[in-house]
Amino acid sequence: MSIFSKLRALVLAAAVLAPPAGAMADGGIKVYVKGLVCAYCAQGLTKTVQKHPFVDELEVDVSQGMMLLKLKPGKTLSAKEIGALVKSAGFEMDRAEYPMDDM
Amino acid sequence: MLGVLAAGGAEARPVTYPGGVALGAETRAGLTEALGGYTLDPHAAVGADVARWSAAGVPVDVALATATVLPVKGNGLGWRANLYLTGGAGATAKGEAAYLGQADADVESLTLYASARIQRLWQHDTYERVRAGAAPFVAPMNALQIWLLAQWDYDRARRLGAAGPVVRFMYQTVLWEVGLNSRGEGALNWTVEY
Repeated sequence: MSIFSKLRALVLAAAVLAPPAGAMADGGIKVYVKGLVCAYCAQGLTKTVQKHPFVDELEVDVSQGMMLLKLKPGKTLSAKEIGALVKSAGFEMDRAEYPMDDM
Repeated sequence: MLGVLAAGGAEARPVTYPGGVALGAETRAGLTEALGGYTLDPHAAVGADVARWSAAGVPVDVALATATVLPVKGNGLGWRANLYLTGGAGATAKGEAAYLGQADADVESLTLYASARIQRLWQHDTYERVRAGAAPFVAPMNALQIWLLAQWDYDRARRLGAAGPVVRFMYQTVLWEVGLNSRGEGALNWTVEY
């Protein structure tokens, strides 16, 4: 196998093993939220979501309209459950992107 | 009998999140107002409003119980729009019945904002306001967010209109605003959410 072929194989392997776009390497769920336009209004979202017993911690990136949700070990939440949680805070979920190891 | 139509909060969101408590005040020429609210669900809140309306020349002190609904709410990626309707009923310091009504509409993105308000203390004053502005940057969580707004308002009791700048600051769950209009009158509003 030529050096060129080995490099191509390495690139292909990296592409296969890499997480899909949007998935988190650190195990968090990326939740894209409609209506999330400022840090002030995000306070209500974080307070509501943090009350869920499965939620360990969360971070909000207002500029991306995204909430990074980290669950307690062994706990899972479906996209539907996350959507309902977001809705209860007065927002709407656009989509949830799970890390590869949870898929 | 003194009537009042529609009320709301300081220039924040009168409906926040379920279980949320908001305290605030709004001060402008013709009005000094203290407000408290409790959000029942994402579309409804109840509250109390104690105010001195003096736009018509004779100060009227009122205490009102209020209810706010959010019948129209649009959420999109990077924007939101709301229509709040508030009604209040109570009494003046002289024991007259008092009614308040208010409608607030707003639309905002990460960096652009526009709103309109009509507020009426029945048979005493009607106040109208339009605002538009921009945020020079998008602040991350737990950092100070600043909005630079232009405001036009019209006070029907005094038959006075004015325009001027308003600077809005948001930090965590505290919002405060300072403004000055073309008549040289200042405004100071604040809200804290718990």
